[in-house]
Amino acid sequence: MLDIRGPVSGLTAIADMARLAVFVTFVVLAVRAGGMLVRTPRARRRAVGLLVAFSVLVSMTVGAMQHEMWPFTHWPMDNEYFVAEYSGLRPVVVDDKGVEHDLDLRALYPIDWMDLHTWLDRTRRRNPEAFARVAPWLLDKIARARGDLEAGRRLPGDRGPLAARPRLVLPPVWTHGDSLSPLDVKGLRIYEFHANLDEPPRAAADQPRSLVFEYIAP
Amino acid sequence: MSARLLGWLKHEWQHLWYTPGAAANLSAARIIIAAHAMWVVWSWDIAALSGIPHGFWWQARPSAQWRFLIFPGHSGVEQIIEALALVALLAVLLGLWTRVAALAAAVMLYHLAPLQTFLVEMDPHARGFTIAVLSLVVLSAARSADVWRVGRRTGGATAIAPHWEYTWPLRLMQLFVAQIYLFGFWGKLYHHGLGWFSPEQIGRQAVLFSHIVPGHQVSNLGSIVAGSAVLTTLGAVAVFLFELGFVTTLFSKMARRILVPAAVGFHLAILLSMQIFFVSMFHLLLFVNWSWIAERLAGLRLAARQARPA
Repeated sequence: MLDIRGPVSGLTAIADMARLAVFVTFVVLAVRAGGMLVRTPRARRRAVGLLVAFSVLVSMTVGAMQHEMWPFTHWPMDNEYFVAEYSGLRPVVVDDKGVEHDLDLRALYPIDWMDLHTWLDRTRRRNPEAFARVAPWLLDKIARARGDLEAGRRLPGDRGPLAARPRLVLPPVWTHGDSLSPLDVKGLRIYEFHANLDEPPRAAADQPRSLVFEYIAP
Repeated sequence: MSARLLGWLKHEWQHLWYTPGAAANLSAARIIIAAHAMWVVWSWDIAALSGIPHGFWWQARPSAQWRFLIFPGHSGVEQIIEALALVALLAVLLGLWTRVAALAAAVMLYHLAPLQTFLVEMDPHARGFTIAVLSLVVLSAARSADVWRVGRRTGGATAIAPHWEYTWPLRLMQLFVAQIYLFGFWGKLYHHGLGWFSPEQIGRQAVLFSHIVPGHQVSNLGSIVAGSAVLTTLGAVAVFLFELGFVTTLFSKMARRILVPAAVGFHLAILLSMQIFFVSMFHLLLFVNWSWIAERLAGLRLAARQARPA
């Protein structure tokens, strides 16, 4: 059963339907501008003018107002403002001896780490029980990915060097010859770490941190 | 005065959208958009995201799910939609049934793209399909397969006279790309003011990922930039001028020649310092004058043929 407890309100639902209506209008105007539903060349030229005006007006308004109306978007990437004190989340895997190891974030595929980071951050604030429901699946996925790598296969989702990279590009953490064997992956911990962006970066072990989530397989 | 201003604006509007343009540039845009979208669809298993456990979906709004027709637990259906989208994009690439295929691909990508980010947001702007969906809708209304299509000899890229039909679709697609930078600039100013464009902020942005994933950098450019007052100051000025100025590429050939290569450098610098790969950077190819390149290549071929002994 789908568990939906998002911030639903009548106004939000209307806004979502309005966004859909804008896209449908865009498509209908394009169909008209393509020559369907119009009879004369002059009418078609008017339809093209309408499509151009609509596209310019909607896309510029979305950008100016900084509201999401995808596929018309305000491109909010890289707009975040950082103060010197920074806190983020970092996952580690735990082996059967209780020793922590870095997680190769590619093992989470098809989930992008930056999305999972945002999800974990919101989950711990608003719905912390949700982590326990997904953690066994995440751990299984990580263990399988590790197993694939140990067996000389590619990580799941790795479609080779010609594939488009994910947003956050990271050199591989897990490589052949490191100390973690496939059977060792027994647990997953998510820590919150703290850093000062105005100081030189420290090694992960030297960053102050606190445990946010933990799942150890029974 | 206002009548003269209105007349000037009208003239400039007409000039921007309806000046006769080359068929080859629009056909090249069709090929770029379709090839890029196919590459992204092939690269990532978007359908698999439909199969992740229901526990992940607690933030999803039902109205947003209806908006994109996204519901969990239908990986098989999503795989079929992915395959159909690839077929439609291949048809666009080849110039076959272009208008219908472009519209079908746009609608299917409109459904698939938000699945990439549905865990946390409804706006998959930086995942590779935003420019594609907008452009495919525009291509569905355009004469984008008059040259460079399979199945019919078209007489070469230069055989068709320039026409206004080839200008407005390409200009719209270029506008969508220019908005990436324009709204990037405006968003920073709107939410944080001029303070975002400070050397201090550039330094923090450059070194952020060295703190998030210490020891796993693709290069140490971020630390070099953050450690130099000159580089952070230059970076702040460059981001301000570049993001604000890129929109001039719509109006000026000179701006295109300077700012399009600058945009490539901008994305490479972000990749090497912040480790962020912007998959839509390849849409900058929409600003290349492919018609000019085709003419030069045709001239070279002709000269080589004439130089060959009988």
